[in-house]
Amino acid sequence: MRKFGLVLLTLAMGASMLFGQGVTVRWAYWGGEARIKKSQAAIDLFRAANPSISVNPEISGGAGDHFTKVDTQLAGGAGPDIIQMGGNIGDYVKKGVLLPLDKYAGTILNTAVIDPAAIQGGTFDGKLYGISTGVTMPALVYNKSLIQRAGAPLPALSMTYAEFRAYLVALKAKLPTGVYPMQDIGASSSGTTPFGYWTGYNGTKLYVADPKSTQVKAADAQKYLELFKDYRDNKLIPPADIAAGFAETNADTSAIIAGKVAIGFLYTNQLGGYQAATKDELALMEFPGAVATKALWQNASQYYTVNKETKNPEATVKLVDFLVNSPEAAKVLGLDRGASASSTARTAALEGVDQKVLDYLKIAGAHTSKPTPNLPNDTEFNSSFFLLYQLVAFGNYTTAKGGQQIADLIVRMINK
Amino acid sequence: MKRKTRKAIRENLSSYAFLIPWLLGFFVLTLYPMAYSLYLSFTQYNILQPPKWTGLRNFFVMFAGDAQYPKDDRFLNSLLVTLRFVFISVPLKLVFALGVAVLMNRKLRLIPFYRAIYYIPTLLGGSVAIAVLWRRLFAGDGVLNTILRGLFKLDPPAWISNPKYALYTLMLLAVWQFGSPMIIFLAGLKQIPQEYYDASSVDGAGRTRQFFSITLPCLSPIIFFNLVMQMISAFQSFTQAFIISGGNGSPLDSTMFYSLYLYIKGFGFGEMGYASAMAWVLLIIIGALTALTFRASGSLVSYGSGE
Repeated sequence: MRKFGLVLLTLAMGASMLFGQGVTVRWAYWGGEARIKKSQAAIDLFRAANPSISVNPEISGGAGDHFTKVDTQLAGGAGPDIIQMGGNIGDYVKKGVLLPLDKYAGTILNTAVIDPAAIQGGTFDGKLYGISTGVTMPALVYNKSLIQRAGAPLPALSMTYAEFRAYLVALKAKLPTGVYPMQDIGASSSGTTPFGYWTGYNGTKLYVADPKSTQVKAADAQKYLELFKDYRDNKLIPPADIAAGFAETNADTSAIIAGKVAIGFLYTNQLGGYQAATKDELALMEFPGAVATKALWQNASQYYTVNKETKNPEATVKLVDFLVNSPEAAKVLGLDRGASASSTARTAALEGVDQKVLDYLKIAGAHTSKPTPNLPNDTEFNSSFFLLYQLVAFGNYTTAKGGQQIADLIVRMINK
Repeated sequence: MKRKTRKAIRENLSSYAFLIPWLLGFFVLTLYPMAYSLYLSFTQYNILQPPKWTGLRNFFVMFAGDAQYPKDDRFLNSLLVTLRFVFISVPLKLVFALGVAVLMNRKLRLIPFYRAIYYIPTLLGGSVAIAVLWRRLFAGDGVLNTILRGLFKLDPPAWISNPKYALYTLMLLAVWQFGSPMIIFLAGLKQIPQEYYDASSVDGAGRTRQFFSITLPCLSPIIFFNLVMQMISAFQSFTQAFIISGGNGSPLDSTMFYSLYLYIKGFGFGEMGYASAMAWVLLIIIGALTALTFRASGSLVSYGSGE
C-alpha cells in the first residue's frame, strides 16, 4: 500500500513538472480542414514568440457542434478561454458568460489599429466583449470552369433580378443534363442569409431592435417563396429532393463542389475553403439587385471572445491580440475568418483566392448598408424557417400558407 | 449472543462497503440526474442561466398549446415518425433475425464462421461510419441509383433526401443490424429439446408444421424478450438519423426521431427544460407500451411450466 502511494506521488510530481510551467490557453473554434491548418500555423508562430504559453485548440466541425460543446463546458465550469462567436454573440453577452476586454485595451490589446466599426460591432452596453476576426459579406459563387466548359457566357458581377433570371435561363440551355444553373439557396439547414438579403432588397427589414418588431408581412414572405418556386418550376434550381441532398454547411456538403450546380451561395471568407475543395476555378458575384438597393452588408465573420471564468486572462488576451493584429499571423490565416479589420494586419501580402475576395469586397462593399441585428433565437428561426421552406419546395404547402407561417414564426421568435 | 450480533453487524458493514462504489454511482450518476431532470422538466432552462419555474407549461405546449404558447407541431411529428419507425422496423428485424437464426442453427461445417459474419453488421451498425456509408449508398447519385440507372434504365428518386423514402432507408439500416436478437434466438433454439422434433416427425409433421407448432411456441419467451428490448432501443434511436439527415431531421422532418428532436431542442435551441420534459414523456410512453406488451403477451407466451 505504501509503495503504491509512493508511486502515485512520484507520478504526480512528474506530471506537475511536465505541465506546471507556463500556462495553457484553450481556444475553441469551428471550421474545416483549411481553417485548422491555418490556425495551427498561427499558433506555432505565437508559441515561437511566447514559449511560456501553450495553446490548445478545441475544434468542432461546424458552428452547431461548437456551441453545443461550449455551452456544456461553460455550464460545467470548464469553458475554454477563447470562444469563437458568430452573429449570436449578443445572446452570450446577455447570458453573462463573456469577459469585458476594456481594461486590456491599449495595453496588451491594441484596439487603436482596429477599424472603429469593427470595435463597435463587438461592443454591447458600452463594453467591449468581442474582437472581430475580420470582415465578410454574403456573395454568390459560381463555377467559372464549369460554365466555360459548357460554352456559356460568364455572369456579370452585378445584375438586376430580371437580368439574373434571363442569365439562368440561358445557362440552363447550355448545361449538361443533371446539372442545374443554381442551387436552391432560398433556405438551407445552415442558415437563412439569402432570405435576410431579400428582405433588405424588398425594403422590409427582418428585424428592428427598437421597438422589437419586424417589417416582413405574410405577403412579403410569400413573394420570396414564389421567386424560388418560379426557379424550381423552370428547372433553374434542382427539384426539392435533389436540393435537400446537400446540407450546404461547408464545401464538402455543397452542391457546387459536388458539380451539381453552377452557382451557389457563401460568405466571402469561405471562398478559400471552397476553392481548396475543387480543381475548378470559382469566382464571386453579387446577389441580384444589390446595386440599386444597397441591400448587401458587411459584418464580422466571427468574433474572438474570452470566457469570463478564464484563469489566464492576460495570456488569453495576448493570443487574441496576436491573431487579430500581427501581420505574421494575418499572412498565415489569410481571409479564412474574414478580411482583417486591423490596419497592422492588413500590411500582410495576400495572394490568390484571398486577392479575389478583396477585389469583390471593394466593389460589392459599395452596395452595402448597415447590417440589421440578428433576429433573436437565431438557431431556432433558421431550423423552423428551413422546415417551412421545404414544405413549400416539396409542394406540401402553398406559397400563401408558407408565407403566412413564416411571418408568424418571425413574430414568435421576437416575442419569445 | 452479543458477540454474534456484533459479528453480524461487522459482516453487514463489509458488504455495504463493497456495495459503496455501485451505490455511489447509482445515487450520483443515475438517481440524482434523473431527479434533477424531473425538476427541470417543469422549468425553462438554457444551461447558462438558472432555471425558471414554469409549472406544466412544457407539457402544455407539447399536447395542447394556446395563442400565447402555441402547440409544438414538430413534437407530435417526431413522436409519429418514431412510432412508425418502431412499429415497422422492430417486427421486420425480429422476423429477419429469427429466419437467420433458424438457418444458423444447422449442423454445417463452417457454421461458426457464418454466425460471425452475420453478426458483423451489428458490431458496425451504430457507428457514424456506417451512417455515412448509408448516405452514400442511397443518395441521389449514390451507389444504388447508379446501379438502377445503369442496369435497369430507371429514374429512381433520391432516397435519402426524399421525404417519402428517407425513413425507410433508416428502417433498412435498423433491420440490417439484426445480429444481437439473432444471437439470442440462436441460444433459444438450442434450448428446444430435440425429442420434440423427433416425436413430431414420427407423427408425420413436416418442417413448416414443426416450425409453427414446436419452434415458435417454445421460443415465445425469447421472442417476447427480444421484442421488448428492441422496442425500447428503437424508441431511443439517434445516431443514424443524426448523421444521415445532417443533424436536422431533414427532409421535411421525415427522419426527425424523438430523441433527435429532444437533442435539437435542448442543445440547439437552448431549451433544456423542454428537452427534459420530452425525456420524461418518452419514459412514460416506453413504460406504457412495455406494460401493454406484457399484458398482451399473457396468452401468447408459453414458459413451458408443464401443467
